[in-house]
Amino acid sequence: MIVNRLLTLGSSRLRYALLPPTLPTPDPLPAPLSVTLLSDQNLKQGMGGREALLRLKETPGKAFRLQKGDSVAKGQILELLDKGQAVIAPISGVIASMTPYVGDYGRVYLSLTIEAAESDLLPEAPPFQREDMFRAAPGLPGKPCLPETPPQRVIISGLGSDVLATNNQYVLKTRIKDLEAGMDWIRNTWPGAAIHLMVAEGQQKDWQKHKTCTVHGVAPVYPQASPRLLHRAVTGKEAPAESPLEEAGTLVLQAEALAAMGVLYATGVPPLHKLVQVMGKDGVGHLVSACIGTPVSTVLAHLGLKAEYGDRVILGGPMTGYAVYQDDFPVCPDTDTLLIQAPERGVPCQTPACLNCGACTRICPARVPVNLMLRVLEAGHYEEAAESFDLMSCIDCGLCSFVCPGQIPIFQYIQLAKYEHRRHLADEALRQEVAS
Amino acid sequence: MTASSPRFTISSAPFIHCGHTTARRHLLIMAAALPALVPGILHFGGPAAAVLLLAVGSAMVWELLFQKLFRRPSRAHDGGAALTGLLIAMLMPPAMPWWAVIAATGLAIVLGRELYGGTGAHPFNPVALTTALLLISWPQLYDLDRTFLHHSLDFSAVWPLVEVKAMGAQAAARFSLMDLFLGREIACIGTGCAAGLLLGGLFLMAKGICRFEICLSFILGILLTATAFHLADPARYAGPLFHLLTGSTLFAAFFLMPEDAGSPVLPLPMLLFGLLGGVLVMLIRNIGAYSDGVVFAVLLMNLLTPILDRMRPKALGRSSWEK
Repeated sequence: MIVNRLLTLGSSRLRYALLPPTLPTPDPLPAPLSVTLLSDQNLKQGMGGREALLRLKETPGKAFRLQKGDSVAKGQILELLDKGQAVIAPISGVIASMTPYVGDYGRVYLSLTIEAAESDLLPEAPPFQREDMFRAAPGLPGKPCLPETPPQRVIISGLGSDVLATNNQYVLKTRIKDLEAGMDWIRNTWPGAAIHLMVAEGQQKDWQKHKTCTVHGVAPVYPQASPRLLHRAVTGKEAPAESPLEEAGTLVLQAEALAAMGVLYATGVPPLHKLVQVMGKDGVGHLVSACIGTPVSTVLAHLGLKAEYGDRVILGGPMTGYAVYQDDFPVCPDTDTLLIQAPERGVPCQTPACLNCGACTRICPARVPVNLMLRVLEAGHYEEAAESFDLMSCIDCGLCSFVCPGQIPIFQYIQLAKYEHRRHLADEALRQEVAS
Repeated sequence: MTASSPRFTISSAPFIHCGHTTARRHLLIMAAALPALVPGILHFGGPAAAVLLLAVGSAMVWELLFQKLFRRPSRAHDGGAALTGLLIAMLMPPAMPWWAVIAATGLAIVLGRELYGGTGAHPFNPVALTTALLLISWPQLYDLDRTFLHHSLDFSAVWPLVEVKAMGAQAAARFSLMDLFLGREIACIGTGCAAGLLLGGLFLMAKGICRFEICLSFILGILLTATAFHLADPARYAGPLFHLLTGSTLFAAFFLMPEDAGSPVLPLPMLLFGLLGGVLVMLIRNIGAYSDGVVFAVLLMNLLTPILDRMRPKALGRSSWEK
């Protein structure tokens, strides 16, 4: 995975893990007895944190559409409020608890725990409507985020969201029918959208016979599969950094998300199993297919892996993921990787002085002057960082921290700065609204 | 989510690291200095080794004292102070008195590094700054022709650069380029052996610690300017290879110019930084007051770095540099 060459004229390069020619068989996990779902309650970028939490707690009369003790059926779309993202019940059962959960950078979720009932309730099974896809999407494996305005192009990423994730490659090799159904949905819903499929370089020929989409090869060098870099590879232009990619007319979907949409479109039943690449402390990778909402502890117990006091349990990949402190944290729709890391393998937390060696600036795929920006970030001048040092151009790959010889948590500084900057913009907008 | 599971460690992403650390970086630079140091110590003997050890030791003690006094966390394990001490000693004649060595490392650590905030925060290269301060304050200590009076050497015991500055280009003919390349000249402890410096420099460039853009463009700047001077007046100015191999040219190319804090980080600024530095060295040598003006050239280029740093490409998806 990490190429540390003897001659390091450049910096170390990080490559995506590629699947071996003989495909592994994903280990299917049995249906769990209890699942936890995290329903994202953020209204929009920059509107999380205290506001969202208060909104959850102070909704008049707790007018949630769901209550503790409600029965839910497998495959039912659960919506808490009119707005906010829905989740899909992966098992039939009873809602055992509903509690707010605050994640990183003020992201607020409502955590729903469903205890399995003795027998599966029959789902209401209404005929699948096209607009249901928009409601169901956030709960599907791969967490597709479908825009309301039709995009000009849909880019399907066949490489992972992080260096270790292989779920998209596996889907590309094995679930062609589902992918085609997903593309059908896109063509029927957004007739004007061009479909581009991005696969690892050298594997284009497997897809040339499918005339329905344009196939591009991507060098499997991290972070070439990052959405903004894919947009550049397809269009030859760079999307404006300050606005979301959707405004440039591009929707990026993980291949697994497209396959899930295809299954829902073709059968009317939402798929609820997620491919997860699991790696224990021994460094051996396992590909498992787990029900969304399965606690991490269940996945680990099934594979016979151990996570002990002091270890790191990392969801979402070694470069951009997050560590959780409890092993009953659930597998989420976008959890592609699950990693157990022994304490001595981790990067120590420290904030030494910057050497100004420039490794971060030279490796940055977004050409951000990281060495200059870090100085203003350390001082907490987030507005200056956004205006003069290209904070918002950052594509969140984490390579700057990866190569920093001082092991400064640059990526963490940038994430915090982006969160604060977006909050500041939202505050400004609110103030102007009140004034006018 | 219940509270029954074992507690795990949480920390921020990314959770993996390429393995290059500051301490390793400093150690490799010190290792790269050895091929140049060993011939120097073999030629000049015990006094040179004493200066070297005193400089490294006193630099570390100065740093320790400063950090204790100002209640800063100790960064001795980084090896930054030891490296500064080593490089200062390499730029000293072997006959440096002990008090001058201690004063030099004190100036470098306190005035050159720690007052600005320590590692990486200093605008000037502490080694060049200290050497320049000593060169102005006690010029006689750096007069190499005097410091070798008590040595019996098997090669010409005159300082090539001073000789050429005083006598013109025909003086350069007295030194064979091979002697200069192998370090058979009187010089500072670590700057004499061009072959050793080149070896260390190639190693550092291959490891990516010294940016090859800076080193090579600095050498190119020296060669181009020296050639231009030589062509304009061959009787007065020595040729480019002579200037490349004498004085502290190669030492500056690999150990002073690419120093992290004072140099730019992107390719084009690095090329300009090196090229202009090389031009400045030759201007100081040929029409300035000092016979070897390398440290002054380095300090002047350090001043330019903040401006060079602003020469950068537009970041991803930005329509202008500033909003």
